Amino acid sequence: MGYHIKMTIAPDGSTCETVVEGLAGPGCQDVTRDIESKCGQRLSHKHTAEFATKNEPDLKLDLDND
Amino acid sequence: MSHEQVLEFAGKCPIAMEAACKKLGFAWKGYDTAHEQYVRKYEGYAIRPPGFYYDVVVDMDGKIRADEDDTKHDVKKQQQIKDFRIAYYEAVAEAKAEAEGGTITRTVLENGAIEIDIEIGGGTTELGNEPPKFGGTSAPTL
Repeated sequence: MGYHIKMTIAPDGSTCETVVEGLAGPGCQDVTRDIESKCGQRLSHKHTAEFATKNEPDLKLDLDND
Repeated sequence: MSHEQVLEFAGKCPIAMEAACKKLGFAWKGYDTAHEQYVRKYEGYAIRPPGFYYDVVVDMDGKIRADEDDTKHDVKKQQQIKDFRIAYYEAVAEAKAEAEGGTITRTVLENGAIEIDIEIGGGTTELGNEPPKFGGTSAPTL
């Protein structure tokens, strides 16, 4: 199962917001650190439903774990 | 008298900056501790879009420093700066996708923003969809 990195560039190119979806586990920070260093934006990580139900069954399926 | 204009940006990767310049046909001047712009000097990475009087500098904080004579009233030059910033972020995305073996989908949203979706490692590890394993009772077919 893969994951997505979604980069949204403002119409004038001034900012780029990056969101990671579907990446589970502590390694997600390592995967996205290089983009964060190049784009200067704080990333948010939305873990998969699979990850949420395995680890935190009472939480929402989309978790923002910044 | 000429004034500087500081434009929002967060680029810090010279490789992506150079790639953006190459894509857009801008001159890439690389790093210097004192890029000259009118009477000012900045440490950072300089580019020169076609038609600009002065170099545009991306300083060490990632901000774009241009001269007002170039960017304040000239819509075409303002667009060139926008194009550079967008091309930079696209170059970062392309480099990431290439490094991770991913694929890129580019979408222009209704508000004019650009969404780049980098899909990495999708759809290859679900049950019943794994690649064949060799070394069993039958030899692989070449």
